[in-house]
Amino acid sequence: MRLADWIERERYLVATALMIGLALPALAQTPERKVTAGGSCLACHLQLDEARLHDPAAAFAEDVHNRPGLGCVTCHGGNPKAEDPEEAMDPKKGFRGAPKIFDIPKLCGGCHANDAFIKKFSPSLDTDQLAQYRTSVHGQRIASGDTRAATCISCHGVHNILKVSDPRAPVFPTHVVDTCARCHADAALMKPYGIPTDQVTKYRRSVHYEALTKRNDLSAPTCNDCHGSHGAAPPGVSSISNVCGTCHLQNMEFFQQSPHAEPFAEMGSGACEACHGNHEIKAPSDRLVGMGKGAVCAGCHDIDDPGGTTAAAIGASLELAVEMDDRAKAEVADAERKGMLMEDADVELEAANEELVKARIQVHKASLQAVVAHTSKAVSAAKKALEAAAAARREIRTRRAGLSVALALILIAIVALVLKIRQIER
Amino acid sequence: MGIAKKVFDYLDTRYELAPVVEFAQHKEVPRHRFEWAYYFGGFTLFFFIVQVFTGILLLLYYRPTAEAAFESVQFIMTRVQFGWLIRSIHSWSANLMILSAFFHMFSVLFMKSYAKPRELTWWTGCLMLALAFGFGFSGYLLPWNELAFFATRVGTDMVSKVPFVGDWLLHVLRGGEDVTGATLTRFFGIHVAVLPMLMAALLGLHLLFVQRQGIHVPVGLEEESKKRPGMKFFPSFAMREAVVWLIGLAVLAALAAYFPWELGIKADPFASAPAGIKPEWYFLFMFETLKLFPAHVLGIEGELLGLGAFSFLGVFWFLIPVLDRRSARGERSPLFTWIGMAALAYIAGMTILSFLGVFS
Repeated sequence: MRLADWIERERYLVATALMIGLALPALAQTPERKVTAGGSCLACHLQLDEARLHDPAAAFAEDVHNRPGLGCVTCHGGNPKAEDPEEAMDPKKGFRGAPKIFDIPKLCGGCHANDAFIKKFSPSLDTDQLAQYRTSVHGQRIASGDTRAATCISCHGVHNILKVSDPRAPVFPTHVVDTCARCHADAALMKPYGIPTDQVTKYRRSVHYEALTKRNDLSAPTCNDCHGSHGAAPPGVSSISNVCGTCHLQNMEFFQQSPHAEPFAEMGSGACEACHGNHEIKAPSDRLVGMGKGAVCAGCHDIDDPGGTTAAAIGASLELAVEMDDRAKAEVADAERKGMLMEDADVELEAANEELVKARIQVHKASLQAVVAHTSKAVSAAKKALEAAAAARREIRTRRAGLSVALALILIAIVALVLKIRQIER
Repeated sequence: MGIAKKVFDYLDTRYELAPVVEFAQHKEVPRHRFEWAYYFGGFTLFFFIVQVFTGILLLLYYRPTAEAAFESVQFIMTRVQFGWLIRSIHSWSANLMILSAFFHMFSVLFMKSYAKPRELTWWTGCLMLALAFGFGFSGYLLPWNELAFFATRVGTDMVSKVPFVGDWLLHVLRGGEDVTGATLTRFFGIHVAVLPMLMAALLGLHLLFVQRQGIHVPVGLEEESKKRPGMKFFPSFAMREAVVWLIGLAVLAALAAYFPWELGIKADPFASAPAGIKPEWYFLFMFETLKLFPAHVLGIEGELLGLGAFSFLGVFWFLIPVLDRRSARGERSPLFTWIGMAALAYIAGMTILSFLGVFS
């Protein structure tokens, strides 16, 4: 058989063999050492034993700058094509060695603040980081000559810089708190600035931290979502509600419509913070509302003043709706456990839950009317669910009564048959 | 002359029924210490009759499309008068029918009633058990709920392991690449038309063979049976069977009233499979065994090897009347008793262990 004929006949086999053959060299590559930029710098540094000189070169394999070919020379200068170390690291050829801490923001900004350059690599990447950094407390400290203040590499790392979206990156949402904590939870480091160091501990007890780390909700806020990242600064007391309102939009809108908005603005007091706290924000409970124990309204109002009366009425309205909803849920669940299909009741429970959520948001208006408009609907829906549960209970009783009658009739028939069999066989 | 007599005479003159009546009047059931085992066949038949009646009633409201199936079963359970009862009895009766069929099969096996000349009765019985599994598998998907959907996906996926024709079989069974509305429609067709037709034919043959050949007396019990006068099939055995059927009816009613069959949540083909998917209990021993197989054994895919082993055992089981030569000669056959005991212990053991969560 001619080779051409054989190839024609076995074309699928040949194609498969070719594909495997072509794929083998790619499979043979080791992924760990994909250093594509760096030239002679890496060639030498990777062979050095001294960790200080070897490790940065090794770490660069994973660096986000490595893949597009931005090698050591981009930050350190010098001539990566030169084989001779003296020539490669010749200051006359622009070699600058390790940049000084004060120079780092400008060095990074050299590329990252350059629109035209950055767009070549990542068109969607912002280029205002340097400008923002200069407005931050960190940037201002650096500008004033404070070497302990954070620069780009304090948060992003150096030589092994990863994309923000990389879950291993120190600036990935779940790691931000640890990154900030490296300085802000260090009492000795923070002492000269007179700022507290318990924010991280408090934040880790908050509902936001729980959402971020336990429910893996990456949209939950961490340090930089409230304080900013490159332009990091503590939010001013008067602007706290704007910060919270970034996510809790409706709560902020309703608060602005409330009788509380003006006095809080006049006092220059942080509105959200006054009731919910700041770093250690707990899951809000209905007990915060009203004039009872644990209610925040009682912190400012007396039960006799109009505000106190309204707060008490709002608290009572919420309490009634929640109580009815809980009862309805329990009774519907009980019917479901007994095998009843309760899809109508489930719809009502869903409606009650929706109205309760709305009522809780309306609480920020501090208006009894606004809250009751929703709690009354929640109560009405819960009542319908309770009625459905009561109907299910009646149905269960009817079924069991019917079963008793059926079993009695069957028993009579069995007895009659047994007697008849005995009579026949006697 | 009573109406009944007139009707009988009318039929007798045309179809000569007298010999049939004569046969029925003289038909006897042997009596011995294991005579209770004779009731399981009838008990299985009772559950099958219940299935037919309740199935026809469910057909009045059930809609076999992916869009409407779940809602129609929900409608049956909540809006149709006694719909909950009919559906619950249909589901419970399906399970009790298979349980009863297992008891019947093992009692036949231990009494060696399959031996010559009753090979065809055994074979039609085996085929009917396979059909009952088919009824269970196809009916499980019909409510179109989450558990059934994913269990069917896993179950149908197994046929793809069959060498050479696996993919083709999978497409035929599913009506496409994946479990979709097309699968539901064809499972419905199989469940309400194909399987009942085959079952009716096999059941007719099975009953005909039993009536024609009479009831078998196990080896070793012939003397005891000869000493005791036989039980008249009509009316003594029939009335006893009626008592058993009434007990079955009572059990069904109690189960339906106290444990209405669950509906679950509607299947969402785009959702990820829920944890702990399991097939119906009668497939559990095979399901768990296949899971225990390593991924590959001597280069052969473990699941394929497992399915091959079960197929081999199935064929062996089917051919027992031919393989057990001692029973065919009317001699004791302890080997096949031990084989039966081992099979029973394995099936029961794996099923119980699966329910206890040992494999999860």
